[in-house]
Amino acid sequence: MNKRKIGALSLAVVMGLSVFATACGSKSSEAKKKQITVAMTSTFAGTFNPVLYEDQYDAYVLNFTFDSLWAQDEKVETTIPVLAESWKETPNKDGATIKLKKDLKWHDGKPLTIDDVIFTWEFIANKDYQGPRFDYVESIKGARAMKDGKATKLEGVKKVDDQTVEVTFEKPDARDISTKLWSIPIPKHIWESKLGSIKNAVNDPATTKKVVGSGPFKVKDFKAGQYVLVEKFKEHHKQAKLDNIVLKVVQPDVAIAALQKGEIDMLASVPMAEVDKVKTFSNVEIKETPDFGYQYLGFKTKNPVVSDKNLRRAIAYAINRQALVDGLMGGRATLLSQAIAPVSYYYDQKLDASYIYSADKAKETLAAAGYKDVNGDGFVEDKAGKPLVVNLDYPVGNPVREKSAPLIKADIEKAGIKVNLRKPRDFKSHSEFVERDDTDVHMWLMGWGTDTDPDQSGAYKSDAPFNYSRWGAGTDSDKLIDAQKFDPKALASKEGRKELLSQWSKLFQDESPVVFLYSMNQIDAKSKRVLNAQFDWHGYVEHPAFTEWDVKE
Amino acid sequence: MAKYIIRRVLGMIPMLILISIILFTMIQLVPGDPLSQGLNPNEDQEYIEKLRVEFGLDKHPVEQYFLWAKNFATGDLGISFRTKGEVASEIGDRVGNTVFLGVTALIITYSIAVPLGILSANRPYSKLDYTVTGLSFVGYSFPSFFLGLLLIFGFSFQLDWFPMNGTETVASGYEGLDYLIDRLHHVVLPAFTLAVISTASYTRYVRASVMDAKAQDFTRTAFAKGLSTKVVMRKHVLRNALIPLVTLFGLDLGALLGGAIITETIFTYPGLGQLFLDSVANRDYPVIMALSMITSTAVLFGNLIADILYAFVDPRIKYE
Repeated sequence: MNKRKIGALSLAVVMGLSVFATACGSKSSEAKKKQITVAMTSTFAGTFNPVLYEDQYDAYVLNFTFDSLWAQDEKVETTIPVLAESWKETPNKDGATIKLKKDLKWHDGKPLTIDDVIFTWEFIANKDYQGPRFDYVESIKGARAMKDGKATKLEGVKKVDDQTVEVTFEKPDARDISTKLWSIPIPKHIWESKLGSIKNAVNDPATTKKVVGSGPFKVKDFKAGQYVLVEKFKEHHKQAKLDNIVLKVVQPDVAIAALQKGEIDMLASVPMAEVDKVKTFSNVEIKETPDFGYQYLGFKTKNPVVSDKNLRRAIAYAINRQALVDGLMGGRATLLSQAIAPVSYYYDQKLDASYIYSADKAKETLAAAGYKDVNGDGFVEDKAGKPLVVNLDYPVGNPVREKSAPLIKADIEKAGIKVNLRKPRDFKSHSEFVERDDTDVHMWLMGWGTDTDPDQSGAYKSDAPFNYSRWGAGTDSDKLIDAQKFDPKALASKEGRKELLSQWSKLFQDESPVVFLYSMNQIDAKSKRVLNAQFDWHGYVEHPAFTEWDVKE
Repeated sequence: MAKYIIRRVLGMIPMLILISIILFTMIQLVPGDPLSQGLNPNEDQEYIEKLRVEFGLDKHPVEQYFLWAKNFATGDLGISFRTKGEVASEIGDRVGNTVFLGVTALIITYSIAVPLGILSANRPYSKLDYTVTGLSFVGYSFPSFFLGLLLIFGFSFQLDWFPMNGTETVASGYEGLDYLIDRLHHVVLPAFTLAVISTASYTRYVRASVMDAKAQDFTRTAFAKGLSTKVVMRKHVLRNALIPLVTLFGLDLGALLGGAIITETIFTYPGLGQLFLDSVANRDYPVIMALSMITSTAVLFGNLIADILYAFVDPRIKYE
């Protein structure tokens, strides 16, 4: 065959196939199954095991495929029984009795009993366990000993019968039971024989391909980088109305069009810039809720440039946060005055009155602390009379935060403090600069996503690695953070705990190691084709009542 | 010939070592902690420290390099920081998709560029030639992410001819020929996006090459002998003009394995390009290293293949 023939032939083949393919394009898959598609804007890591996963997108899959003992209601309180029939904490919160429902089943048909729950706690406490969940069993008596290899059983766990277990905690602990106790069991009959190889559990087929869960849906198919298909589990104690849910990876730029087109039925976290457009789609409902994460401006309190709390307080007054929320987010965010989510019971509204935007107040605060404009350039010098320039670092990736950086600089400069807005870095680089206390980092922008419990140990204990401000030593901060967990007052009532948290927040406000900027609302969209989807602080996609979801025929 | 190939392959080894050292150093210089997400203050620090030891990140970079090199030489690509899975199997899952996309794009490129380039060269400075040249420049300068979005908007969103993303219909249950057609149906848009840019440059290349051959003495001689235009074109002009394409083909083979980072991402096409972007964002060093080394090796081999093919199609070239 000569070249021309080959060329002509291959051209013909391509043309032919393209036409053929187009012709088949409208062919609908056999359908009749009730199926919806949920868009994921990033790929899955593919670790479908609740005690091992680390990727946020894997968590979406686990939400459908593994049941927890309980779920949280619209007031963020753990009241909804799922696997558990009931649970009760001891009056001084040093223990709990948990009773499971009867006739629960794993996806392979084996019964799910309290042994699985106990096994899961011991799996996490095992010295060879390699996953990030130890914090969730640490409160159980004897967990530390087991992790250190000094025990093979959890001292504080007592099986009563096949449905019931009694747990004793290391010490009385005021945190929510869902925070201090791991609540999503993994199947003992699958993992027991693999205890010797826990280190490879992440790569075990039981984690990746042959997942045995307990949720209303089971993992049917996983195509790396593309989608996860979950299918209704017919023996579940709560029957889902849908047959299939597809969690499909869609590029964020394309997701909005796909939503309008009806190719996807749900989208979590609609970008701020697209909200108004999505609102015009006749086939889509969009809702928003305050979120648990927040954005902040941090200060390196050990760095001499910003070590004076009066300078930090002045900056807190200087930033017009309401203008950021209105201008950049169309009001779709909540101002916050403390590290606690505004939807939480523990959020103290009384503290909102401090740090109302006022450039004058900022200037007064500066002057009173001895910051004066010596050389007449419009900016204050430091207390020794040397020029004061405060660096501001920020990462790229969150468009709203990127746009806020120059506005924050302008606000602070209006109050008379010279700001050097440094070139933005990608998120991973930025967080390393902040984490290693680079001496050029004075102020920075970042955000935290937080758990539903208001415990602040992870972010603000003085020795916590994530306490990037390096603040707290020499103050009552650590004492108060411990008190809201362990103090008798906190143990006695939620009101008592709230009071202690407020005391801490007040101290925090006074010292201002961080300026809380805003909490961006979480905005979810769903197609009108999907019925019975409830919405609260969980959003649509992660709402625990997903078994009710249905579609119009 | 065999000697030549062996010499070339051996020559690649120091080259690859050098490439790997440069890559490794560059990756080390980029700041960012691959293990901490830095998104939730309740992350388990003890666990992160444990992983750091497990992955050898607590060791000196030089020691880390030698460990990596030793494993790589024995075919062990390491463990992904992100998924904790074997890098080899992560790549294995995706390489087929990338090859499928790349080959389809190449076929489209060749089947459009070669005829168009010849047509253009046969009527130089005609309206047709100017149109082809103009379009080539447009195609060449079109950013692929924009073209991709445009194609999705036009052919998926508006016309509904092709799917927006993915490699296959979810839960379709297709088998055999139906499955192949479904795959082709999904690959057309991303392949076309890739092909547009290379088609543009190939067309220019073919045109120049054919015009060059037509101006040669042997072509004039052939015409002088009284041969028909058809025969002259086929036997004298095209044979000579298309030889340089073989070189390009070899180079393309290498580039093909690198994946099409932007195109694959826009179409959520799970190939090596998408994996590469994910791994860079997550500082997943073992994956970045493995993919970069594979691409480098492929480019080197692509060059070798081009040189060998050259000897076959052009009798004047001989390798000792």
